[in-house]
Amino acid sequence: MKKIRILLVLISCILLLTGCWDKVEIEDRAFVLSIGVDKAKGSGEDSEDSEDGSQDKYLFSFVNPDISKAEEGKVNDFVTFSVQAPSYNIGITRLLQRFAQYHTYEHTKVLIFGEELLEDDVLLKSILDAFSRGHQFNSSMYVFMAHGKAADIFKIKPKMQSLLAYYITGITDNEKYAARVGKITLLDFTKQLIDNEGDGVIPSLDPHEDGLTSSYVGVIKDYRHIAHLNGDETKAWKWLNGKAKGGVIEIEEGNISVPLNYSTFNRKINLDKVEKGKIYLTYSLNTEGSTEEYILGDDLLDENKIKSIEVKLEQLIENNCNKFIKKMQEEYKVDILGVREYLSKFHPVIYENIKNDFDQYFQSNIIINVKAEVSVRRTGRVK
Amino acid sequence: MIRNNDIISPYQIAMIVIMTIVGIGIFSLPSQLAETAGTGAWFIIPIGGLINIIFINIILRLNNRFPHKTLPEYAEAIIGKVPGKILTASYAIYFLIVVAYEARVVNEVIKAFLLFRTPSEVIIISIILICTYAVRGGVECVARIMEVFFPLLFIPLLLIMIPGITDLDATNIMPMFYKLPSKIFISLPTLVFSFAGYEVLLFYVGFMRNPKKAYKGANIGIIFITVLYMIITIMCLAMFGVNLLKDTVWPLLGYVRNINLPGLFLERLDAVMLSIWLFTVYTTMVSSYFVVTYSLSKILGASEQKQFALPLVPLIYYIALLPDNIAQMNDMANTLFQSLGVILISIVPILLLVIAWIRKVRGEIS
Repeated sequence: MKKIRILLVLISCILLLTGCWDKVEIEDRAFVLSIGVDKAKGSGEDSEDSEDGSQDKYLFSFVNPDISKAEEGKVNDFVTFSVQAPSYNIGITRLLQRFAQYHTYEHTKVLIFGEELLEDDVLLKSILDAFSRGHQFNSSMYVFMAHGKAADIFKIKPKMQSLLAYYITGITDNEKYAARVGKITLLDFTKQLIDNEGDGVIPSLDPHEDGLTSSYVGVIKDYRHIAHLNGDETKAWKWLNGKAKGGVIEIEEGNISVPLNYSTFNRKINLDKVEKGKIYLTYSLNTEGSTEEYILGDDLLDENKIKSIEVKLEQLIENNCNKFIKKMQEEYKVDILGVREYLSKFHPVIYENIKNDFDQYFQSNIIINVKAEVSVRRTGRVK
Repeated sequence: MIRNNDIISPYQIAMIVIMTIVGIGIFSLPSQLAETAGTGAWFIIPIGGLINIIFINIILRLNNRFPHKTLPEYAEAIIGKVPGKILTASYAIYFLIVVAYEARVVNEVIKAFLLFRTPSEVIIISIILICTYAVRGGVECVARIMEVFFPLLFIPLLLIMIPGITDLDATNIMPMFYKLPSKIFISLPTLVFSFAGYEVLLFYVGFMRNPKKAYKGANIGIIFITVLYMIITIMCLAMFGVNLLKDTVWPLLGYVRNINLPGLFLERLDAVMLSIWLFTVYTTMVSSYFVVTYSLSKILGASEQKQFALPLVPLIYYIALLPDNIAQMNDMANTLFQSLGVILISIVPILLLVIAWIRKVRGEIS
């Protein structure tokens, strides 16, 4: 009796414990490091033959590390696979028809949208939904736009770094030293668009002879890419949104330029008054840093000199910001200054009144005053 | 193993309260509250806690009137034999549905995040069978499971939230008190449901040597849960912002999924989170399941509850598979728990207490 029991337990172990429906061996996984999404042009070679099939809307590019070139556990190269499809899920099935592995997105670092795709609000909305709804995607990947096609970005072989995705995350990490570098995760990007009813920004990646460069920001209005900010505007945007984590501001002093290295940049918004239907806001910008470039032999350790540098820096910041605000209110007519966020969070009663025609209100009835305060704290090793 | 003596300690009562209440709801609570209360979500939770403390004390008051007796026993003393049995049966049915619902939600979450191709049948049957195993061990076994799992669950749960703090934006919880009174009213059903589960005390306090000591444990349990819910809601709110939070089905899982640990030694934490969450659901299921088998044994006059555990498996499985999809499941759960749940948690204990008081029935004090 006892023997039969043991036998039964053993047999049921064999039957019950071996069946694993979701087993995927690590060799069968293709780790996708970056994803690029472009707008499709016509139907591609993968399109279904049936006539009533829907149109190809997207061109997906998936970047995988090239395992065939792996040496001693280090992967030295990457490969790109592209597929055209009406939606992400169809794209994947089409890709799997000519692919020996199964896609895994746990390690996806970068998501790049092509410019044309961003100009189409319906496509952008549905692909963003696919990436936030899909259980397989993580929301901490960085989002970028490409000037041109996202697929072209993946053709670039970076110097020094072997894998493009880690090269791009390396660039984003430099945000704390260079204010123009963009860094936004998928979660923050979707959050920003949902909170601002389709308005927001997206940092761009552009080809460079050294690889890639991230130094501009694209403006999105109503889920549509409408413009690109230039260098000064990008910096002004970061300052006004309190997103600057560090960088350099420089002024001209005689023939040389004097830079201020800052590592903190604080922004505070205050509601001054509401008068005759107009809302007066003050943006107080506060930064401090060190100046470590001047003229040899000239003494920088002088209260008056530092004061004058500070005043010039403050004027520069204020001018830049004012120009930027004016452009946003008059030309682009889009609130990427955080006005909506501030009012809805801290003055919900006011916001409730103007919520319905906020765009109109933003253009004419919100008056923003910028006040910068710069302190040069240190001047380096030389007097 | 020491043989059961079927006695529960006051500490175990606190554990039963905590582990029963914290269940599937912990994943979706922040988004449900954001839907009804907006940014005031986190502030509404203490109000919910306060309301539930009142009801839990009513239940304890009732239990203290009949020391060493559980609901099936004293219900018969208060309202008569047959109505008492009917009342016990309605509790049994309610908890049976709770177990089935939890099993179904486990299945939905696991299928969405972990095991995509594993058949639902396998997932549901295995979780029910594991619960059956625990329930067959009797009341002391159930209480010990709660006791053992408590640190295993909450220490990692709080630890796992910490790396996400860098991504939080504290201003997302503003505006704080905007239109709060109207929000409280529409959030009440969610709040009642998310604290539901302590009605199991109607059964468990009867196993205590000194039921007076249950007051402390049970109240501490509710306060602990209130604080835990507040922490989770504040963190999710700060991470997602109110607009995105409303649209998220399982925000706590999304929170963990958004964490990017530097150093890459653990790339994704959501698998850890899911296993913690499975513990919470498991404990809720076990404690409800025991109430079902125990009630059945009392209704049928059996001396042991053990033999009722296994035959219930197909029934629970069948009920779990009734809803067609998640949307339907949520609808059914909301209507059922918000009507039957509210009656069984609040109204029935009050009525029983009042009737017992009028008829001057009370248990023997030993």
